[in-house]
Formats: sequence, C-alpha cells, structure tokens
Amino acid sequence: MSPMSAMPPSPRSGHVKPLVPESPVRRPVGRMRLAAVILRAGVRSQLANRADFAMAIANGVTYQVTVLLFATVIFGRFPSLAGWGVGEVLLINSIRMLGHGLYMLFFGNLGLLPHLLRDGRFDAFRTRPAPVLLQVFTYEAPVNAVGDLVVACASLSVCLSLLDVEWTVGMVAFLLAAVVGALVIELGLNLHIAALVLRFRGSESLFFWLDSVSGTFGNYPLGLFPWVLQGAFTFVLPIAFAGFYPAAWLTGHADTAPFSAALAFAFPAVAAALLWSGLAWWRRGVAFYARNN
Amino acid sequence: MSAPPPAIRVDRVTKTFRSWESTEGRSWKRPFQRRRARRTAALSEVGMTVETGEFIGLLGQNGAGKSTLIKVMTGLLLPESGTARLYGLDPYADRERNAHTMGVTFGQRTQLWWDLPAHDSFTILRDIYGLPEAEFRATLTELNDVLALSSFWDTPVRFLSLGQRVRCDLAAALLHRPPLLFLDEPTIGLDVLVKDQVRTLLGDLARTGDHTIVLTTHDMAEVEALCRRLVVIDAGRVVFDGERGELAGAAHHRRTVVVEFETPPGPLSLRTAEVVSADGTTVHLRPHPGAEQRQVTDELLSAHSVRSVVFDGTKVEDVLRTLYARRPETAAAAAPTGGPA
Repeated sequence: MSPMSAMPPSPRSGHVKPLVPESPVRRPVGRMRLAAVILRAGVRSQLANRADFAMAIANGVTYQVTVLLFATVIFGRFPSLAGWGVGEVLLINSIRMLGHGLYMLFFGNLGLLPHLLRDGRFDAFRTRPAPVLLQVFTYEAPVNAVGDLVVACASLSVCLSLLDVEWTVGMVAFLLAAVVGALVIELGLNLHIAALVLRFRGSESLFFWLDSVSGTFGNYPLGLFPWVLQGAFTFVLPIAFAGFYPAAWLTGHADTAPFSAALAFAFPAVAAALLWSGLAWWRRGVAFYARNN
Repeated sequence: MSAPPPAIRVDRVTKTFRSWESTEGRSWKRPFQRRRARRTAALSEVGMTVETGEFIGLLGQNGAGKSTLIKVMTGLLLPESGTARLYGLDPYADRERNAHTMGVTFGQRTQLWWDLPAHDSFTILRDIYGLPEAEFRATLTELNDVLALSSFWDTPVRFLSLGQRVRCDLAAALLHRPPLLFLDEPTIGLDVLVKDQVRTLLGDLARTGDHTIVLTTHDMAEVEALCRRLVVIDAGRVVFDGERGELAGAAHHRRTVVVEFETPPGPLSLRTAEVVSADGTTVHLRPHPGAEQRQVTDELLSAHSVRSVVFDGTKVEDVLRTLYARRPETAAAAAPTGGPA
C-alpha cells in the first residue's frame, strides 16, 4: 500500500463543513515570527553564495555613496546652501537615508510587486492564510538594505561630528521620530504606487522615479529650489517631511522654512495620513486586481 | 439538522474581460481616435456542484475558460454575476479561512520561494498554516515517500528541474492536508516517470474518499486514470457535465494504434484490436471497445518483435473534437449546467 493511501483523513475534512482555524499569522506575534523565519532563511540562502551576498550589499553601498559623493562635489563649490552648513545638510541626508534604509529592510520588497505579478506569485500569496501585504514584504531577505543602512549610519556619524548642536533627550527623541517618519512616508508613497501597479502594469517605473526624486531632491534644503518645487515637495509629493522639515527644527532653521515654521512638526501627521491613504489605495487596488485579472 | 454544504458550488457565474478594438489602417490620427471597448465572455452562466470526495476533470481547449473558472473558485477572481462557494464560504470574502481548506497548483508557475531550498519553503508554509511540528514532519515524510523529494529539497528552487519543481509544488499544496485540491495542469511538460509519480499520488488521495479534487489537463490518459466525472468547458460555457465513460466512449472509435514491427508481420489476428491497414512493417490497429492500452501492448509484445507502439487519439483534444462533432445532441444533453447531485 502506498504511504499516501494510508494518510489519515484530514482533520479538517470529512463530510461535514471543515474546521477553519485562525491562522497564527493573523496575530502580530505570529506575523513577526513568520517575518523572522523568512528573513533568516533568506539570509542563509544568500550567505550560501558569498559573492551574491557581497554584491547585494555593495549595490546598496554604491548607490548611497554616489548620492553622498554628489553632495560632496556640491559642498566643494558652495560651502553653504541656502544658509545651511555642510553638517546641517548632512543631517537632512542622514534622516532620509536612515528612513530609506529601514524602509528597504522591512518593506523594500514592495518594489518587487511587478515581478511577483508577472510570475504568478501574487496569486499564490492570495491562496494562503496570511495577509498578502505581509507575504510581499517578507518575500526575500533584503540584503542590499544593509548597504543602505551602513552608508546612512556613516553619514549620520560624520554629520554629528560636524554639527554644533547640544543634544537633549527631547532632540534625540525628535531625531528618532523623524527617522521613523521618513520610513513611514516612504512606505506610504510606495503603497500608492503599488496600488497603481495593480491597476496599470505600465506604472511600475514609478517605483524608480520616486527613489530617484527622493535621492536627487530630498537631501537638500527646500529653499534651494524654486517655489513650484517647494510646493510640490511639501503638498503634492511630500518628501520634504522625510528629512528637510524635521532637520530644520533640529538645526534651528525652522523659522526660515518655506510656508510655515509649524511644518517642522507636521511630519508625524503627514506620515500617518500617507500610510492610511496608502493602505486604503492598496486594498482598493487588490479588489480591482481581483475583478480584472 | 441541515445538510452540510457541498465542497464546491458554482452558481450562474459570468465573467467578462475588456479588450479594445484595434483601428484599421495607418493614420496620424490613429493615436487620437477613440477606441471602442469590447467585452469578451470568459465564463457565461457557469454552474456546477462538486460533492466531497469527487475527483473531477475540468476539460476544454486553450482559452475555453478552465483557468478562469479555477480562479473564480479559488477566490482569485471576482465574477461579474453569480456566486462561488467552497464549503459554503465565499472564497474571496473569506479568503484566509478558505485557504486552510484548499491546496492549489498553477501549472508551471511555482509558488515556492525562488531563492530558498524547497525544504525552507515547506518550513515557511508550516508557519503560515500553523501546523504542529509532529504533523508537519509526518506529512512531509509521507509526501517524500511518494514523490521522492529528499534528494533535491535542499537545493534552491531556482536550480531545480521542471519535474523536481512540480513535485515540490504539489507537496507544498498538500502540506496542510487540505480536503479540497485545485490542480491546474499539474503534469504539463513533465516526463513519463514524473507524471506517473504525480498520478500515483493523486490516485492515492482520491482513494481515501476524503479529498475533493478538481484537475485540468490536456492528457486523456490522465483523465481516464483519475477522473470519474468530467466537466467540459467551451467558450466559457459548460457543454458537458457527466460520467467519464460517456464522453471517453464517444471518442473511442477514433482511437488508433500505430505499430512498427521489426519485420513485416504477415496476416494479423488479435484479441484486443482489429487491423485497419498494413504497409510493410507499419500496421494501424483500432482497439476493440473496452480494450485498454496495456492489454493491446501486452498482446503485441508477447507474440511479435515490435519496434514501437504509438497510441493516437488519446489526447483530450481528440475527445473534444468528437464531442463537438456530435454537438447538437451534446448541447441538448448538457443544457442544464448544474452538476449531478
């Protein structure tokens, strides 16, 4: 007799309605455990090929170092940018890059959505008893985020050595909140793009566009740009809240910030609103996908 | 006490997809011209009921609507009208609860983690489904005994051959012992040995009487080996829903066997088949009704030196052609699309 024929009846089957237990990943602890299991397995598999692992980290480092080198060139020619010194500008840079590195570490797989859709993996996620978004976030170990974070930490340490600021507990808490805010703002914006990708396949390049715009404009004082861009980065694509506005308060530049000094404290509200809106867009995007694909 | 709901109930499901009419000719105005939208019906008023323990073959030509129907039944696709229920639950609205009761494979598309060894994927699935360690190990051992997975389950999925990957995918779909299985062309592109392993597993599952299985395939031998009930879909409509024998028998007279002998066999007299034509070493046979492929092959090999035996007319497409040839009566027979009770 074949072993499978001896397989006992499924405890969830039979001639009655099967029991459908609640999946452990519905609980936050279960979700964290699942994320940890996948990340551990992913890191293990990437470590199996040392060259791949090193390249993944090097990619993250290279990209962020390029951004920093460009900033160094700018500072070489202009020691002060819109009244901001080198250390102060580096603080904008550090907040944004730390937020970005953490985003890449925990949620960066969202950028793989087009690939997951094309390969049919997104459909497989929807046949499992776990939140689809969680399965997207934990699809593979984001090793190159380590590179992003290494450069971000280096940038922050250089910036702290240059800054003439007396750090109080409140300021340190504000800085940490700003980093988390930058992470949530990037997550919120990318969720909007992911929802668009679920509707229009051609919109996947928006992921790269957002990354490029943030890397190009998000590292500098807003006062450098014409008023149209100042308005765009504050009210339309609010990347200024993921670096510039919180850094303006920490460095004493809030009074000269465009529009209002109060905007320096608005980043938690902006982050929360973007996350809420991004999740709502995502849910509607998934429903659209289920009706049309 | 009310009767338990059936494993699957699909009721008057309609699904259309929008496409755009292309404008004729070349003109600079073309990009600015408004294109007309057109809706193509993928499923039209499809209905069927599958009871617990049934093994049904879902057949149809490419583009007939089989995969769309499977997507509707698994909650991946929302129909415009009509309903699908698995054990009485809405597969879309109750997605996470339903996921515990069903296992799904999608042809050559893998649902395993591409960069991880297959065994790691199984471990992750264990955590997703919340399987106790002992139950997980026992099931994996049983699956390994049938599908022979252990020799390659430590290899990253991206390095596996198609046959190895399909076996791992099937194991992944069965790990949580779902009572309901949707298998969308699980043996497509596989070699004979792997096909046999997969068929053995599915046959074993069917024999427990505990599993409800929906299989789409283009291989009639697979259908004949496994499915008692067939549902044929054509252009989004159910055109046949009944016992396998009724449909397979209809195509039987078209089936031929091409035998290549080592030397011209001379006048042939066989118990299992009649000679249709003979040309040197090549002879065309038609099996007698009820004669199985194995019996014909055994008789030929026991008395003659045979170079090759090719069975023709054993593909689902051949059966479908027969069905379409006698379409008026079939269409009449299949008019009420509800499945047997």
